[in-house]
Amino acid sequence: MTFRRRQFLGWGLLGVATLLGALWLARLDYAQKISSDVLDLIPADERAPELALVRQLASQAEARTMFFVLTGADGAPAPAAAAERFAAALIQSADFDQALPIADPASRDALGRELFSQRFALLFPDWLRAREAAHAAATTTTPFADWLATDTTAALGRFLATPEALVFQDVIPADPLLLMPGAVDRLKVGLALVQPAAATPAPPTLVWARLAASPLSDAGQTPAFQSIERATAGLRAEYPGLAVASTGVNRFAAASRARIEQEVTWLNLVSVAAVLAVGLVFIRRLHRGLHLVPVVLLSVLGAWVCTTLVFARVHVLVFVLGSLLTGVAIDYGFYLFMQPPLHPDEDYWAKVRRLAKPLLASCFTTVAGFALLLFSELPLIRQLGVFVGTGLVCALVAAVVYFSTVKNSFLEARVFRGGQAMPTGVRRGLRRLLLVVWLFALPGLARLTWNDDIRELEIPSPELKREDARIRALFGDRSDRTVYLTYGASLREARDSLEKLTAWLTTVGSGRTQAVGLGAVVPTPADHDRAVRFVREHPEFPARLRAEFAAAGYDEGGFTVFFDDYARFAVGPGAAGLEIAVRALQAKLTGPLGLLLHDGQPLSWFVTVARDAPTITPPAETHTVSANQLQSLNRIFSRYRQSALWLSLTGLAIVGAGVLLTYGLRDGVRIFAIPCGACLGLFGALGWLGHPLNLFHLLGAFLGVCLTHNYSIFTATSAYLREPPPVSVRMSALTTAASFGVLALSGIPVVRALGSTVALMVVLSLVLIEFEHLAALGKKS
Amino acid sequence: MKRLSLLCLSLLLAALAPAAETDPLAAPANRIAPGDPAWQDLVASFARRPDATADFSEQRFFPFKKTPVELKGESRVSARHGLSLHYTAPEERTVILDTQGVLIRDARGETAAPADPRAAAANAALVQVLRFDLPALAEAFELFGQRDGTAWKLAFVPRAAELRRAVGQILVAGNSDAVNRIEIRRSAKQFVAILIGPPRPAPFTADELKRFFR
Repeated sequence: MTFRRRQFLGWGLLGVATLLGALWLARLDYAQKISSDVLDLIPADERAPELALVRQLASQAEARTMFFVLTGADGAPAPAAAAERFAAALIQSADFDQALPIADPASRDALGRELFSQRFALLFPDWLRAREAAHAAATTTTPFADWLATDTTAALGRFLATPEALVFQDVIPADPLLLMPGAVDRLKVGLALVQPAAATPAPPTLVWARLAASPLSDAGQTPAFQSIERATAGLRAEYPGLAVASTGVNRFAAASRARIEQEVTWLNLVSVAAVLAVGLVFIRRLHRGLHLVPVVLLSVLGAWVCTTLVFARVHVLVFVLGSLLTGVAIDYGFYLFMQPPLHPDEDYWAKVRRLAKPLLASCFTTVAGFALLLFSELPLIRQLGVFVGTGLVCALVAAVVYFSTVKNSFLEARVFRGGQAMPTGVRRGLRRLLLVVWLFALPGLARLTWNDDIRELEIPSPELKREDARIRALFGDRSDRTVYLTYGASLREARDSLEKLTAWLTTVGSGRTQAVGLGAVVPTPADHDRAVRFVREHPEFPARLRAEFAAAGYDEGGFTVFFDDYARFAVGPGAAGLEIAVRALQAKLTGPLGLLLHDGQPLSWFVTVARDAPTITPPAETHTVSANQLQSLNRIFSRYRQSALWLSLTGLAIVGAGVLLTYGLRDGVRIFAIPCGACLGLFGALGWLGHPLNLFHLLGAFLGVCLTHNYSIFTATSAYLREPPPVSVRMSALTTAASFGVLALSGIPVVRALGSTVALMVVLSLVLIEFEHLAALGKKS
Repeated sequence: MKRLSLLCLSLLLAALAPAAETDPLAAPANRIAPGDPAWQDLVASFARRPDATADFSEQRFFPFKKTPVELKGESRVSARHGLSLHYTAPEERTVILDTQGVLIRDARGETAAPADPRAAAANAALVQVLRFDLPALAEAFELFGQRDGTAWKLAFVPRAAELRRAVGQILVAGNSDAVNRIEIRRSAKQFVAILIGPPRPAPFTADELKRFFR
């Protein structure tokens, strides 16, 4: 085949591949395909209920909440009317489905009315249980129903002399059992826990709102912020100088998105600059180095196409981490392009065949290792496995095809002697010194500490956090409080678990813990069912109560409404009445109240706010997670890390087995000693330094082993020919170290962990190679 | 989720209440302006009034009860500290109304009434009545009054329908600078009447201030 024909075929092949890839990428809906949602880093079918809860919470009203503080020109709280108009403007925008001034009692009124309406299903069971306990304690022989009628009448008489009687006087004809005052009394115990700063002489003007869309989506961010701006600007005509401070999950999500986008841009730019800088040092005619660019671009194109083909949704972090592909994909180009021909007339394909063994061995063992990441539980790692694995295959194919179209497929490099500049004895001495250092580092592995913290996935935003804490404090969110979420597969299960949490708080909190939640007004299923049985098994009770009321001087017809409602409850839906009543109550819960209870699939939950809560985690049988404790989530992340460790070790075994099969046991061990030694030595040193590691250091080490074993194989090929390490290895290692070193400068902790680990491993391996660790292979052949 | 001032279920139940009946005193002919010269001597007299203690009795009439519930105690009025009602029968309890709202002290400890704009307006009204602060009262109430020599009667009708439904109207009767009777009237069968005995002007001791005010 003539060169022209080969060139035409090569360009045609690459052109078609590029066109198809570009077409695929052009028709993608990027808003739908690319996610910046941190929840997409967590498996959708996560089996740990804590994570399922977090996922649900994030998509439910809790995460859609926004908090606003309105101040006037002088910094003083804005007038209440401004808050009303601001809330109305937010609702009109359609970006918010709820907005209300905190001072507006409408939502409380709605709760009160619904509680009153459902008082028999929700409040009567708790009341009855308390009366049964009092009857048992009274050690009386009077039958319970008779005792209850007398006791209820006496309690009503006492209540009418209290200040609360004046507040409840209109309710009492329908509630002589004092169910509503009892509920208020139970709830107000916790009031101090949740009272916002509104109790101060100049209470802040606060507005609570709920986004119509997820705060993690575009719709929950930019349009919502624009609506807030419009609402504020609209009010400034009437309230000059009005300022609105706000916080919400969407503020953090938007900041994270902006930060990631910024990081993608500058990391890639600096990475390319770093690679070019290395190229400038090594390549005589830099413009010829531009031949490497199409290989890298085709590799990245292939990685994008394959990843977006395989996954319905890809996290943006994959592309941030994927920027490392630039440094890896260039390896094959370097090796192919910088290997001199055996003789001036050597055919290109003859050169390819000569280099096929190291190229294929390094590529396919690396790809096999990355393919193993597909078995990871974490979507991010699976996506990264496909991105890098397919990118490397594309890089190898692109390099082989592309350089077939280049007339002179040899890139001459400047000659640096590297380790060879030193006398053999010195090199031997340094190799021995390195071995001693390595042996000293190894025990450090036993000192390794792991810090699996979900916050490592966050983009640090200290200013936003400060503002968030300030605004939430005005809304009554104080650091001395603990928020518990008690979940269950159904409302009944969740309520049963809540009872266990309440008992645990009472016991472990030694009576000091104060808690508030809807558990105070929603009975346990057992209590509800017992109340249903009581009204059906004691039909004489209403008549007894009526008689006691009359004897105590109450009007005969004064409580008609109560007795009618009681009779309706007696013939009501029975056990099913609890769910019906709770759902009716939930339907009326708006504003912050709506966050106290969630009835849905796969989990329902109750929220409890506690002060002086025990510092330990609630026991498993309470099915409760603390919203302000990350331990449970970190425990799950720790599980992911252990899973990743097993995957990495299996991947290493595959890569190692590939090397052993290709190069035999003795040489294979020597070749594989470089990546393994660098990895163990680095981790040992980090152990001695006390630097805590996480899942992403582990992932970095796995990447590092896959990369450095390429250098080891390429160097071994030269060693067999009694040649020094090829310049392409040195250049490749330095470009990789440069691009990963750039990742180590990232503001995202996990990216930093990954970048620094790989960069250090590559540098260590290069040092080993420069000191001719593999030179012995040539002596034996 | 953390903002739960929801728990104030007190006056929200007012929405369930029937409309209050109007007292004959609250007729257009008796309407007075806050700065009405005919009442300024009383305003000045109340402004000069020292802190005072007085015995009081309270009758609560409920439409579902044939006889009123009777309570007794001592009231303390202070221009600076507000109003304190120390009930001695049937149970000992102290209710303090001041610029911060309502505080109840009883055997169970202290309970502050939850923040609620309607409750705040009603509580503020009682404090203002005892100070005879007609301009402040006129912001939330329509004012009606009659004088007969040194005797006088005032009626305060909430301007807001919601507050009117929740509180009804407040009727106050007195002689010179002494308040004799306060009535919070929802209807002819549903009202609270507080009868206040002759005031005993005397500065409150430190112990009294601590026990009966905040």
